[in-house]
Amino acid sequence: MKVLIEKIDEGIEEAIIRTRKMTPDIRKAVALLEHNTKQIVAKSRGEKIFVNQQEILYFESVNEKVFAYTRESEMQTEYTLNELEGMLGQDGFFRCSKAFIVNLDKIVSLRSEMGNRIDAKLENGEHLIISRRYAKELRAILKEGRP
Amino acid sequence: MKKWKKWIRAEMDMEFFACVHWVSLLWCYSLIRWLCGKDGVSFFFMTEMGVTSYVMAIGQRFIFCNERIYKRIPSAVRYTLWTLVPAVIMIAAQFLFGWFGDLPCVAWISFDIILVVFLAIVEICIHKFYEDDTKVLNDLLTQYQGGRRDV
Repeated sequence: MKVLIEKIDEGIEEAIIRTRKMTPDIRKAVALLEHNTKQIVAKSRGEKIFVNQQEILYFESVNEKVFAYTRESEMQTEYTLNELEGMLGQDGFFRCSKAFIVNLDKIVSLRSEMGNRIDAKLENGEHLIISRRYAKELRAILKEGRP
Repeated sequence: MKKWKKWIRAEMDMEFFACVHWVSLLWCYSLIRWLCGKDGVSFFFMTEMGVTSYVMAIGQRFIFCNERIYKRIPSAVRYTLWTLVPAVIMIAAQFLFGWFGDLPCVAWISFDIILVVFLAIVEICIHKFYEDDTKVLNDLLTQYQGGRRDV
């Protein structure tokens, strides 16, 4: 297969795959591209913005508002945690407690704690506690490799 | 219903530890009494040990009661208290209830030393367990993240 990469300075970034047949390799490439470009609608300083979901470290629910946290910033989303769980559950996001959804790809290390809890350290140095109720599910996901 | 279930789970945890403490207190006390030539343990003493064990378990539970992230030094302090607090409760109870009234000094001293060492060993074993579990979790995490990158 011939691969052409064209670097652009402006305009929309897009990937075009020309193929006679959808092969497993092409499906993998499509999944990878789609995975890395899915976006979440959020609000920052009153303006609507689109955030690449893979930049999000975790979501937190505070006073019935849901905030998305990236390395550099935080922003409010209109979704509830349940809705986000439904949307992002297959993309590596895991409901780790009543008020948090964490991006499993952004966890740097885990530490088993007293009371069957798990302390997750994220890329930005923050720690999240995964409560006992969700720790069992996390272990299952990590073992089975399910998203 | 959820709060009720959560309470039951917490209660079962505490009762498990309370039973472990109770068995160890009772067995060690019975052994020391037997070595001092005394047969039998008073039912009241057994009950008092049961209550004391429950209080010890509650004390340990409250040391790590909140879902907080503890830094290294506060975490080390809490782990140390996890052994010291039940030891202090146990020693206070033995004097309060007079478990060693009819036994020589060496009896209660031995009892205290054995049980404090036992508590420390339990804590070391639990700590080792969590250390090993941490390694397993991180291996799984690495495998999981590697698998997702291969998508």
